[in-house]
Amino acid sequence: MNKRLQIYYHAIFGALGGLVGWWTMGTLATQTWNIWLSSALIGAGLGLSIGGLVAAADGAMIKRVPLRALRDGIYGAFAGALAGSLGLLLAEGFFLLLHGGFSGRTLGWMLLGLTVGLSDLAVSRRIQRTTYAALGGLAGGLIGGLVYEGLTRLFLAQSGEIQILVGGLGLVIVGACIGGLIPLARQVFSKAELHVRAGKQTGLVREVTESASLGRYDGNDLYLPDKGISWRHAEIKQTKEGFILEVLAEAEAGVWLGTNQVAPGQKLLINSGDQLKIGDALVEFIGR
Amino acid sequence: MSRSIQFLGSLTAVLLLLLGLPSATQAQAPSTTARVTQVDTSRYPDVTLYVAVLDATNKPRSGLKQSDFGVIEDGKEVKITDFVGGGHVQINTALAIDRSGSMESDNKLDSAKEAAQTFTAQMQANDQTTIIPFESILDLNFPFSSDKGRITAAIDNISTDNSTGTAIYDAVVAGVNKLKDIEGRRFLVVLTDGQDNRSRNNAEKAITYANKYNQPVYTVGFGRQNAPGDDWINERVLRQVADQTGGEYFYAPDRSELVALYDRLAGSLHAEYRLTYRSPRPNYDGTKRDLRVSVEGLTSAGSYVEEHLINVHSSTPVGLALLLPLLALLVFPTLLRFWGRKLPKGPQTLVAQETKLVPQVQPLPPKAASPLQPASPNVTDTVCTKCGKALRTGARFCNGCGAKQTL
Repeated sequence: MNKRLQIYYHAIFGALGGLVGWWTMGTLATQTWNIWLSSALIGAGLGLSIGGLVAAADGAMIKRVPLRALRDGIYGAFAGALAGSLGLLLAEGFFLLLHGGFSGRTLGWMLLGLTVGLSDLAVSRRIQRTTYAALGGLAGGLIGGLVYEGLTRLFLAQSGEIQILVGGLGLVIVGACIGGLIPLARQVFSKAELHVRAGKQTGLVREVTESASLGRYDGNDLYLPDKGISWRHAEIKQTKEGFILEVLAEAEAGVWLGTNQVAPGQKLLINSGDQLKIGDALVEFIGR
Repeated sequence: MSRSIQFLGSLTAVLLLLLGLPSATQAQAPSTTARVTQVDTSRYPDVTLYVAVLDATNKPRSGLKQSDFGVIEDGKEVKITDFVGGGHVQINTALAIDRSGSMESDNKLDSAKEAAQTFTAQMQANDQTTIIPFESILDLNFPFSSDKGRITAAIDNISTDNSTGTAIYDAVVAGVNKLKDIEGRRFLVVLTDGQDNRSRNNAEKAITYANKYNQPVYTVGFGRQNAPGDDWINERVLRQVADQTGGEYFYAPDRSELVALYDRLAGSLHAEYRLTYRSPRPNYDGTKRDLRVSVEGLTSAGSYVEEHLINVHSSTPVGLALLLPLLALLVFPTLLRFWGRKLPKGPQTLVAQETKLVPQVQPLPPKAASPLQPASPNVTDTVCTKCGKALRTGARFCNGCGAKQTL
């Protein structure tokens, strides 16, 4: 799966998250509650659905392993609920401080996007990757917030179902922007990529942040469902010298790097253009 | 490049100018003036406006009827659903009074107390007032009261402190804190003879805090405007706090003018009119609404912001209308891929783009050729605890089922 399609699926999942959040939270009469209580609850609902679905997109559409999608989705949902609650409280504060408008609304959604991006830490447990996700969420919130405010102003004079539609559509757009820009930011800022050139995942491109794991376990960054590949086979790490390939000690076999084989437990500096043969899969390492 | 910078600079200046406009502006007329002094949206979509109407001599206009007023929100004339005439609006007041050591000179504290008593004397049955004496620390022990006797006694008990510290900004924040949860007309006035030198907050923080709760701050400078040393009023800051919160700054040089000022403020407050209407756009959409209040042909402008960042009122038909296109978009790439397979000479698909990137894989030498490759995995007698497959030495995960192994 190419990079654009991965972003596309993440955006659709983010949009679905925004929709689910709006739909469920919208059944509660939060308008009559205290503004801070309703912000915290709505933020938690939105964070739970956007964070959960964006986290599940990888497992559902790229790895196509339902249990992985469920597991990542649960982690993402819990972290997203916490982050969303905090994010929307901050967002509401800034919104009121700036007396609403484009700046208030946009800054508010940027904060929500930032916190949802930060919740990636619960799934990836990697600082650099989470930082990129947070930047993506921030940018997603900016764009989504601007579009949402634009829609609000465009349909200002309307009432009834149109206002409900604008509210739902606004959150779908915010969710799509946050969902889509999180993987985009990772792709833009990462220093290397892994392109699967042959094997069951042919065409798949995964970015390498501070590290990337490869193996038959669906929790790996590059999931290679091939019986000749170990559960956790190898890892690519960014070091001061450059990127190194480490074949994990527990791997059943090594990794072919050109005509040389890197045995389990060994490490080797790799360069852009190097092709790694793991089981039946051929993976090209492309550095920037 | 320089033109672009100039353009951006001009644009920024215009934006700043627009943003800096006060939310309630005073309309000027040759004879009388009207001013929206407070907009209360705590019962939104019912909006309550407090309007002061003064005649040419700056005295409150009384006796106006509901029919004399007109309210327009975002260009739409609205119906006034509740009207309370001058003299019947409940007033909630916080009187912050400087009692630092410098207030001892020229009997300034006595003058301030007399002014506060004058204000209190005009209180009506439903009004309530609190007193906040302050120097470097604040005395917040006096709760809101409608009992004139208690308030008078509390004012009488204020005495100067030897402290040279004055915490004006902290007094502003404390006043806002006391008033912020009270419905209705909220009035905060802060009197000082000097300048701030002890606050934990600064002017910007105090202004931000007051604006957060839509609380106009009225400031009063009492005493010397210019004097050597630190013994003078910092009018610039007092004016800044008042202007940036929608309040007003007053200067009183002596006792008589101070007492007259408090008398005038009380009279003006009690003559205000309260107008309530239902917003013609009762949506929780967080947008700014512009207001115009007309009184006998005289117009006063104001505004408020509906405070919800998002509208989360959902309905099943709208939810389905949004869900279906998203589901269609979700399956669209799969359908496209399927279509591409059926039509090999058709348009380029994502699959086609992916496959064309695949290079020819060079045949690799047999694994046995590499000295690094063990002839066979180092299999021991250990087997997977879950599936029973033989494990190699040191394996932490089973290569067959992936189960974690206890070493």
